[in-house]
Amino acid sequence: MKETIKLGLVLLLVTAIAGGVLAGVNGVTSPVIAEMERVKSFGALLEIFPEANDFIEVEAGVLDQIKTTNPSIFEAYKAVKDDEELGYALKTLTGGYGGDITTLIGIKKDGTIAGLRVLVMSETKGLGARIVDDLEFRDSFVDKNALASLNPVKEPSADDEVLLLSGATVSTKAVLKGVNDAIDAYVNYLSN
Amino acid sequence: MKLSTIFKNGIIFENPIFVQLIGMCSVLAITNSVKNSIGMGAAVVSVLVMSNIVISIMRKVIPSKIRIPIFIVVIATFVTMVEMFMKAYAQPLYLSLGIFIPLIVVNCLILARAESFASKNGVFYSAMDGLAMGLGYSAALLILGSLREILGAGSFYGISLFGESFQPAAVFVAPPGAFILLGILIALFNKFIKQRAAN
Repeated sequence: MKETIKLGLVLLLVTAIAGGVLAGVNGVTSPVIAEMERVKSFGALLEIFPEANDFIEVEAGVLDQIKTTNPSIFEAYKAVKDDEELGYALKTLTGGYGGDITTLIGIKKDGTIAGLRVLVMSETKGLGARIVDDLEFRDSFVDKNALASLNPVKEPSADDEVLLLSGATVSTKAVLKGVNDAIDAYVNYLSN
Repeated sequence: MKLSTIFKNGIIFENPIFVQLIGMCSVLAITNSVKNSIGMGAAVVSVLVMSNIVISIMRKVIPSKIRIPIFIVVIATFVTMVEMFMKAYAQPLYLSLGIFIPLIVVNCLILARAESFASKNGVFYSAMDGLAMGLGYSAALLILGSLREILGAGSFYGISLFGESFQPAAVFVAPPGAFILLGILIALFNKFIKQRAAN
């Protein structure tokens, strides 16, 4: 009986020391890990606003107001660099050809489009799915005027024209609806 | 005891993988690339050296009846530390090794060295034994990992070797390829050791 208690106490002591050591290591590594998780979840945001060092979620009250007129918008972030506002990024959900499409749209403070990324979609491979990685399509949005609606055309040149992917009209228009909703919300609620 | 004997045993004559055949599960799983092999080897070497040191220090005060649970606590502590550091400072490696990092706790190589060496020898020799066995394990991992990546993916450390026209034999990065290559390597290794012994 006495020996059993002694063995139990030794084991308790060893595990207590081990727990203490691990708590110490955790204290060192967990802030680093948390920072990496944050950077990862902001990956797409950082691609659009590479010079930003923080993304602040738009207040729930403002987001609710946006949702009443533009229900496709479900998340909004303000991109900042050392307290200086760079612009806004809005996440929209619109109906495509194969299902819902989630698009992240960045609008710079000067009223031009910073960029866009399609985050989630299930469009046809080789046709509609090009909205994700067709650089010509993606780049046709960059620096376009974000104060009025954009129109899809085969050969975009004007400030309000973006590329209409041939064979992917429905997908292009779904992304564009998200972009135009974001522009509308930006003009009405976020630009000062 | 001679240091050269410890290292010769750890790396060649008692090589954990090719001779003792212990800790095989993770070896078969993670040797699909050179990068993973090096990462896993480094993790096992550090856990093995540190747990051997601590267990050797504590060897005179550990009651023999509960030595196994204490060994496991010590090993698990170091594995968890390695896991945390890897997650913080080498996340791509952490993600590609996945579950096999926490599973180092139950790698019988480490418990075997604690039981058969560190609990009976001084701190310095125990540390060296951990290093030697760890290097033997890593060398086996590296050989298997290199062969599998070269044959199965046509690359080494992620760098393509043969250009577009090369058709890699994908079976070698899949689990069956690991068994086939490991079998061949064990056969060759034992032939070499037998020849050495005969001379």
